Amino acid sequence: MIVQEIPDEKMEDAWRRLVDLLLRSSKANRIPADLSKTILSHWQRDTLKSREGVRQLLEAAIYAEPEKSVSLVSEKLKLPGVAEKLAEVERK
Amino acid sequence: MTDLAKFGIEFVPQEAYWKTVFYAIQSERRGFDYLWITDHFNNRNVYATLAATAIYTSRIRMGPGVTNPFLSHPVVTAQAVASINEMAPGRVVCGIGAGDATTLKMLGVTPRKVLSSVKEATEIIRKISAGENVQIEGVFSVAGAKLSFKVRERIPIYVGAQGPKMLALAGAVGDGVLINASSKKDIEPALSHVREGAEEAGRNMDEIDVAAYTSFSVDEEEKKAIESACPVVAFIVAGSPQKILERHGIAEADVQSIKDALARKEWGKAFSSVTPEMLSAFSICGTPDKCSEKISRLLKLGVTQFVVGSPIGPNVRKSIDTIGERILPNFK
Repeated sequence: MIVQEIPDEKMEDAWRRLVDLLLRSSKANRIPADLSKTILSHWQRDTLKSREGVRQLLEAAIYAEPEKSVSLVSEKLKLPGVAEKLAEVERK
Repeated sequence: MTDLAKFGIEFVPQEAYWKTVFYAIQSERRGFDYLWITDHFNNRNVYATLAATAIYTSRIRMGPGVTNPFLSHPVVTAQAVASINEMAPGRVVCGIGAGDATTLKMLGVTPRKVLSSVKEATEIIRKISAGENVQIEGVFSVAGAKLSFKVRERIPIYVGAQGPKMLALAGAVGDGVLINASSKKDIEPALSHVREGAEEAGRNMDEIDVAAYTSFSVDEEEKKAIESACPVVAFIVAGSPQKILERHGIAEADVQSIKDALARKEWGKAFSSVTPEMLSAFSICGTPDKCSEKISRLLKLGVTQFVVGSPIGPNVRKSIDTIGERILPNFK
């Protein structure tokens, strides 16, 4: 799983940046209804910063903003290897 | 600073529903007491949004802020808030006012007998949501309406008001009043009208939650907070009556230049024409310390609930955190 490759010390930065990407996206309606409910459940329990929470955020980000998600992981989180794998997922 | 102030936050449900719910969860966690959702036909439905929010929160009070009696019959409004109350027992309030003339016009609705309509609607919503059988023959005709389910908690009704008569009505019949204003110059006269209405009805101001519904923008960087406030203030200026603009000493030529730019959809020009005087008159914006000072001044006038309204800040999520960490602790 891609999320397993994000180092622990980057998780805090990752969830905040992904959440902001989603909240500011004008294409948030592309996120499947069940996935947005799962994200809200994590947020309600304050577990979005967990590895499972970040996994859900990454999935939502790929639905809403595929290109920006890849560039966020590559440039902001400085994880080019993870970004490359994310780009592969997006291409599929 | 003033103790035990209540804080509310307003959201316009114009984006995917889950974003509003996300901010609602965050606002509750950060210590807000009230959540107000605007009601316009072109956005997500206010009650659908409130229902989703009710499910994901457990403490924050919530309600339409505000609905109107012209698009939805008061009995239907009572049914809606009573249903939300089943999901969030004791946490539901109902804001009602004259409605937005522009959006009502789009639907061919011309509000008539506005004061009587809001007054009667308040009575109908209060009685229906209390489980009473209602019979009224006035602006509305209700012949024996009653809910088939019980509402165990009382649903407070807030009257959204701007003009003197509506403010007085709020003082007479409202559990609270929602005053669309951000500055002392507007809040002070508004409060005197509310007080007059309350006194005439034999009520005490202590019975009325006085909410200042402000245009608000906070950021650690003042420039960013101001930039974020300018679009909202530009629209407020363009829509404000001459009397209000004169009260704040805003030059007619400056207003006209904003109106012209907005009409031509020259957004950059319109927003950059907003002056510091306009920002001060129609918003509370700046750093957390500056915002706290301005909030403190309003609370000293007799405001009992401070409502953080649009735009909230350049990054809404960060601004809610900032308010929770840097502003609310000064007042709670």
